Amino acid sequence: MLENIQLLMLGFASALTLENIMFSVIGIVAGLLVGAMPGVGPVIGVSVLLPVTYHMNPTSAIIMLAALYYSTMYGGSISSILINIPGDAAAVALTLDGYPLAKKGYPGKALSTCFMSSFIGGTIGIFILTISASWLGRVGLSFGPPELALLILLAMTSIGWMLGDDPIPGLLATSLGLCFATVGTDLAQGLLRYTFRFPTFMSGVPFIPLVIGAFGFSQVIELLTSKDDDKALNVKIRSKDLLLTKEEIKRVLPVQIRSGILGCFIGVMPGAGGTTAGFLSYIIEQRIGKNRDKMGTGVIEGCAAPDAANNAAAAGSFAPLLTLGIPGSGTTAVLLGGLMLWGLQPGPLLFTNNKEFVWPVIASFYLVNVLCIIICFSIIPIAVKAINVPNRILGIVIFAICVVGTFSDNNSMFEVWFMMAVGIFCYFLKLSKVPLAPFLLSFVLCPMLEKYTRQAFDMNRGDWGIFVDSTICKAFLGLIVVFVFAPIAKTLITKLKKHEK
Amino acid sequence: MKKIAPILSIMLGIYWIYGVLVKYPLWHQNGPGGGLFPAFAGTLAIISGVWMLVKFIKDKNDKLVLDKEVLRVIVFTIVCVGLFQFLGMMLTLLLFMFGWLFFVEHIQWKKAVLISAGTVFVLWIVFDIFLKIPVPMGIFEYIFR
Repeated sequence: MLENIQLLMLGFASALTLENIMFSVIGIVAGLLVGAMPGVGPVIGVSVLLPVTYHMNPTSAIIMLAALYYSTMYGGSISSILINIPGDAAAVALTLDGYPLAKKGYPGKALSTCFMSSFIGGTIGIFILTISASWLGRVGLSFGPPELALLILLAMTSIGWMLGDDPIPGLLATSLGLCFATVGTDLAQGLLRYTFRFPTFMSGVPFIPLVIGAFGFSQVIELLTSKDDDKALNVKIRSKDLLLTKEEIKRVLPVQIRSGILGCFIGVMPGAGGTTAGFLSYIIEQRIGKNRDKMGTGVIEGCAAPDAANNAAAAGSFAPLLTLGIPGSGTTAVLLGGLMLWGLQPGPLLFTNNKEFVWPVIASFYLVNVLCIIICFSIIPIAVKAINVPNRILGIVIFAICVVGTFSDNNSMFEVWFMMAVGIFCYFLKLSKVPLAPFLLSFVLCPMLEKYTRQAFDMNRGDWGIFVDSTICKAFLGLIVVFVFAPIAKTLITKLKKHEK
Repeated sequence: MKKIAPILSIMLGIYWIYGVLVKYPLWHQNGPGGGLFPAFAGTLAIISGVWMLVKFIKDKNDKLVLDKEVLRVIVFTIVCVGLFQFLGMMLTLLLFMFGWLFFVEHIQWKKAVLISAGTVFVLWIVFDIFLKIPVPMGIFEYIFR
């Protein structure tokens, strides 16, 4: 570990050149823009910038791309909070508390909480990566299909916590998410399920149009039909409103730390990614946090948890990429392609043979994180003005963003029509007081659960024993049992106590 | 309008169950077949949908009629997107944004021009120029490309 820190210091010496700082700033500005635009995720951003870096030296190139990747996480929060449209999939969980907090009149607090959480979560992730990259890579690999299936099942059991007092609307939302998630080619026999003969659906319901439709277009209808306000919020943002008070910092710091650690470990696992990390940390906060009863109504803890987790996951996903050559997410897969183009072979030997490349890159992550938070805090006063735009203007502007953002996902007009159909459907769901969070959570997790369950059964020829073979599986099963039965036991105990009294 | 969502959910659930009964087996060789998850999803959609529908039927204030305002927005957006293939995405958005702001919301024409042109300009710069996404240009496709 000490050697790693020494090498990191040498990395700082190489990374902190004027040239690298300039490339970082370019990457950050591009990333913030890309992240804030719905539909344009980090994958597109990195792919677009990749050819630009061909003529640069590999270290500067990967620093610029990593800066872009990182800052998209920050940028995604901006649109989630201010206009309720997640900039990318990882920012979906943020809409649950970020937008309500902004609507309460605290857009500055919501944004500063998110940026701080991104910074702390990201720093935790990078620190864990620094001291234990190769170990993390091996941990990621020890998660096979049965372990991943149980992890996803663990996340899914938590849907129950989102349902609240009236569980039926939440169950309806969950079932709809499951229905949408089962569209596409079935893994068991290769059957096409519920595709309605549309080629787009052969690989499943596209995520970006679904999210933009569910959050963005349904909100366009709400805004353009709202009769009550032409006035918007008229929030006066004072500079002191942008910063958290000491008490608020005390409230969010533990949330940021635990979500950061959790996010980093989830980021390491192949395929799990920032979206799962964000949702899982939000749900855990809803379960164990001090302010859990108010989650979903616009509290800073609800902003801190998903943002810290998804930034830490972004750092975590570099561990299997650099140490094993296995990309943990779509974006790191594109980065892997870039590394190979520059003649670098990620894997265990990268840390031995290319020290002069790896450590400056890891050092640059710290640098990028610091630059990101400085740039983000400086744009808050401008960004929060969006909240004061009257609904009738905001609605039509969001409509244009939704349409162009969805089209940019796959250059497909079909996806634009699909986004609108989902938006209209979700508008009716909102009218019936059906929450959208369980809908999206089950949509994100179900395909992974189905895939890993199938793979686990195939590995062991249909024997259920594979789900209790490893220690990790046993631990997850134990947690699932606790998570399912704890609320029931708690209710029973409360009732018994009341009865005794 | 509250009844629309549960009705659509029940219809979706029935179609999903129909798929399981006709095409997708619940179990295939060693593990879950293509129908296991859809069967669960469809059943849950029907049960929760019926439950909510019954609740809304009891509410006599709720009617199964689409609100005029909502219908106007839906038709407006559908027509706008439908015109992309003729007028192109950016021009149609510009015209419709201006039209909505000026004629429907009665915003001053100068402000309406500024908002619609400003938004479309930013979107054009980001998506068409920076990200090089070939947005539909309609009849202008042959002139500009």
